[in-house]
Amino acid sequence: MTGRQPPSPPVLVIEGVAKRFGPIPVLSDINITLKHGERRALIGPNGAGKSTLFNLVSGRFRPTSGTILLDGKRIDGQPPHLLSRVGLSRSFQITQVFGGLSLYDNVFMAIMSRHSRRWSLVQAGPAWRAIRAETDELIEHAQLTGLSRRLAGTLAYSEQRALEICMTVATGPSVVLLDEPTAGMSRAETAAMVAFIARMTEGRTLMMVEHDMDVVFGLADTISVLANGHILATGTPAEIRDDARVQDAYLGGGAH
Amino acid sequence: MVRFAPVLVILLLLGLPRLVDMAFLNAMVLVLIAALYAMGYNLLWGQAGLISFGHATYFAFGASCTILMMQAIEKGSSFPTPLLPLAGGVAGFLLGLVAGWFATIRTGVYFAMITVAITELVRAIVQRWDSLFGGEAGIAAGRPAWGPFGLQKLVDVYYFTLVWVVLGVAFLWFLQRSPLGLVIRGVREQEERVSFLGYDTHALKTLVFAISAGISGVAGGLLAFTNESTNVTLYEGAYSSTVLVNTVIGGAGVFLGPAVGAALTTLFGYYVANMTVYWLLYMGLLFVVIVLYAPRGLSGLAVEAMQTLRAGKRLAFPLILRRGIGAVLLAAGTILLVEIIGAIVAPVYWATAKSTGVAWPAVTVFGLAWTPAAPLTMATIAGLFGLGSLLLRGAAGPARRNAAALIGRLTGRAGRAP
Repeated sequence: MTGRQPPSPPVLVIEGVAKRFGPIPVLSDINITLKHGERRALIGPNGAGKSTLFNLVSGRFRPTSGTILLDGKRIDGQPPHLLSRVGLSRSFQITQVFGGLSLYDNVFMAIMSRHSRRWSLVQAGPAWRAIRAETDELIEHAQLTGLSRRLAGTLAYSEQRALEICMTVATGPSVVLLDEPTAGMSRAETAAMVAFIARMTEGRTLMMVEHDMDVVFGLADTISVLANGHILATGTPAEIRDDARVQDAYLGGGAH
Repeated sequence: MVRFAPVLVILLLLGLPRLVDMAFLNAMVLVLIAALYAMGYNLLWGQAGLISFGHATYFAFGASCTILMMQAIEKGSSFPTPLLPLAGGVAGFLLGLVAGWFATIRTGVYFAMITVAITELVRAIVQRWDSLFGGEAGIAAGRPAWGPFGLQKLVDVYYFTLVWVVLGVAFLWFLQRSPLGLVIRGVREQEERVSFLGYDTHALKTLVFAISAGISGVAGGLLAFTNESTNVTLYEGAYSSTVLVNTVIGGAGVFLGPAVGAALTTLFGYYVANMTVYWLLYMGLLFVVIVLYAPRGLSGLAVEAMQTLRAGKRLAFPLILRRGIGAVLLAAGTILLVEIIGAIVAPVYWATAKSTGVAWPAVTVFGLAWTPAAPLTMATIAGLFGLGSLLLRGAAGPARRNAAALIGRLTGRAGRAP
């Protein structure tokens, strides 16, 4: 089905994926292959199908046809909790942190899941020591230690966004999906966020949907342009910038 | 101070049989059972954010299965008496696993509707299954003695109940503070996020439902153990709404809140039911007042007051006093009106009127004789309402806001459900 395996197998393969909502085709014949460590941005005008594609990969929707493979295993149509366990993690455009829990507990819950301690009544033994240590470590790495006892709901917006990224990487994913990670942020906050994401997702494969071209050019090393449910072009930022079709459909269209 | 409160409460409960008469001790056994039932119920509401409208099923099923176990002991089976409520707990848990699996497929209003449907289904089955559940007449079995403990006296039953209730509440406290409890609160806050972190939220919610049903089943088992009988009326909707009312009055957001609510309504029933047949009406009014003025329940009010004091601010005593007096006057007016109308509409009143020849025989309320049609009676009622409303002016705003927030929450929940 996947043909001959190349020497270094790709991490994420989207093959001939299509999605229709009733009679309305939203995506057709989408093919995307992500190498290990690749950072791919999905761009395109509003209504191009970026969010739908994102939701197909992250398990919110099931594709009408086509397959999605993670490390050679089919993941299309799998429920979110199983996707998380095989190494795919996503952030949300509208911040989804646990507002009534402390920042520490937000991250703790993600690390617990990674160690497969999902039903535990007690926290004793070496596994739990490791979970607590890793939680501290990750919060330290994110430079959020000073806020760890604060309720997540009382944090500033940019702090909540940082926590969101923290939780997304805390489950130890091989592929990280980011849905407009800088939505609603100021210029200065956006620049800080780009640096933060680069630091937190180091060594992981990244796929993101983003409108802000500064973020795209700052974080991505390859870009796929989506228009009318098709992939128009895929290439390096420089190639995409110079592509006449892309300029026509998107960059020159007055969107940015 | 607050830290020692649980110890004080437990000491008080331990010494209670020496302090009160048998009737009150009997009421206290019911208070303890209602408290455990409400606490088990609130695991689902307060922790997981799921409001069940059909928890009587698990309470009643726990009671039935405990009696069945006691009957088996009478027939010669060996089962340690102290563990009898556990039979109810296991029964509630298993039924909760099945019911919870279906109910937690949806959330919000849909979840609530499914819990109602399951309750009606179980009630219909139990009602027709006379050979096992005994129908209206019910089933009965004596409390089996255990070693040196006869368990026949009320004091024994009280301590037996107390031990089980303390164990149940301790378990819930332990569960709330465990890693699993953290995940359960996560489901309440952002269920989708929990599933994207790798947790099977449907399985989690099913488990929480089953544990909640299991604790309710233990409470039902304790009731069966105390009464030495049970019948199908326990499966009716009233026992589902009572626990919801207790939780609202006590407050779902504070750990022991539901227990406070259960104690208040049970004792309210114990005292006020002896005084007036309209006690359920008064409890209903009290419920509405609490929903409108203390949406987080009485324990929520206490927590707010404590937070105000801790922040170094003072409570608004003059305002509280003014509104308190206003509320008392309004309540007195309401009671006077309800009791007089209640007396007049009864056929026995007109029989008295005919036999004595007096057009409007006096009605006794608050130890005073009131002649229904007399100007003094009318003036007193009008005066109580007028003065009470005057003292309560400005209090309608918060009630309106709370009501709007409540409606918003309920419809918001419905809208968010998948």
